[in-house]
Formats: sequence, structure tokens, C-alpha cells
Amino acid sequence: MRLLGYASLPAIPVALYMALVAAPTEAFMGHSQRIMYIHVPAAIASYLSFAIVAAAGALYLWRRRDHLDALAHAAAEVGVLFTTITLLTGSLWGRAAWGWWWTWDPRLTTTLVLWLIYVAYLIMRQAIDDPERRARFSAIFGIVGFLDVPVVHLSVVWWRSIHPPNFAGGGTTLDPAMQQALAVCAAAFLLFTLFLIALRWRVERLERSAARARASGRGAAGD
Amino acid sequence: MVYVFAGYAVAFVLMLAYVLRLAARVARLEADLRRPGNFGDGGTVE
Repeated sequence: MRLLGYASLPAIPVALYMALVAAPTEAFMGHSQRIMYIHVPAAIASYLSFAIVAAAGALYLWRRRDHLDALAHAAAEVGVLFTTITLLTGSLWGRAAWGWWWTWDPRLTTTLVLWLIYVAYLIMRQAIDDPERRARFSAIFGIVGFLDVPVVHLSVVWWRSIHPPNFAGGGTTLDPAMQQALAVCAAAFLLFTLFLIALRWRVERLERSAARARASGRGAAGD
Repeated sequence: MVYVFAGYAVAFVLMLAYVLRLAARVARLEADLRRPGNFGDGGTVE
């Protein structure tokens, strides 16, 4: 975890330099286009986080290990953070590029649905008291919720959308210097995402240790 | 330019607030778990 922290700390200023200074200014949108260097990496970070939720959930259903449920919870919270950043920066982009803050475009709508799914996941976790039942339900919810990620990604292919096309798969005409800046920003965000998930996972495991210590203390006091 | 500033400010404030909150929680929990006599025998956590 410390290694991820030490790696992501210098990576963030480098990414900021690439995004705000080194990348060329876009011909039509001007500086507003630089929002892309934070919007796209945040979206990729949310995909990664929700993939970890689904993978940890599936492994939990197989192995029934508490730390896997803790990992899924940690990644879901970080994923919601990055989806929030994606939606907010996307809204700012929309205002600058299209003239409005929000439209019910397939990409925007499916991303909002993704955010709602994992907010509901976090609320559901709060609502179930039994830890084993909570972990089981959350694992299933996290796996089913992940089905929206490919829908979000392919929404610009499947439906008519005003959102720019996906970068993966050759759907872009982005300048090579812009692609380079975007790649550096995405790498920095991915490192930072893994660091945040590791840190949040540590909090979750410490809280569970404290809860177990409290429970055994109460049990000993009642004996 | 104002949209760029707003976008980066929103993202970095959210990320910074979150990482500081997590770091504070780790520090508090580690201190609580290390403290002798804590948890169930007159300790201070909740």
C-alpha cells in the first residue's frame, strides 16, 4: 500500500503537467477540452473499481473469506467516488461543448444508472445487520451491477449518441500528443485508484478487527 | 477556462478530502487497537 502511495504521489503532478501544460490546445473547444484528461481517467478508474467489486464478490461466494467482502466494499466506495467525478466533470464538459449541463444521452444515462447501482449497493450494506447475509447479498449485487459497465462503455456504439467515441478500438481521431497526455493521466489515476482501494480496504479490515475485539470483550465481560 | 478550473478543482478536492479522511480513520483505528485495556473492558471505542 505504501508503495502504491509513493508511486501515485509523484505521478499526479506529472499527469497535471501533461494535461495542463504539455498537451496541445484543442482547435475548436480551446482549453475546455483539457477536462478530458481528468474525465476519461476517472471513468476508467470507476470501471476498474467495479471490476474489483465483482471479482471480490465472486471470490467471496466461492471461498467465503471475510477479507474478500471487505475488499468489495472498499472498491465499491472508491468506484462511487470516481463515478461522481466522471459525472461532474462530464457535466462541465457538456456545458462547455454542447451548451447544456445534462442531456439524457445513452452514455450519460447509463453512467448515471451505474452510479445509482453502486450507491444502492452501499446503502444496502448499511441496511443488513447479519455480516454473512450482508456479504452474500452484496457479492451478488456487486456482480449483477457490474453488467452495466460494458453497457456504459458500448453505449456510444449501440445507440446514437452525442458523446465522443471510445478511445479503445480505434474510434478516435485524437492527436498523438493528446493521446500521450491522456495515457499518462490514465496511468496516474489507475495507480491512485489502487492506492485508495488499498487504503479503504485497510480501514475496513481494521474496523472489522475492532468490532470483533469489542464483541469478544463484551462476551468475556458477560461470562 | 473556468470550466477547466472547476473540473480539476472538483476532482482534486473530492480525492484529497477522501484520502485525508481515510488516513485519519486508519490512524485512529490503529491507535485504538494498540491501546491496552481497550475494547470491552472499560475501553473508549464507541
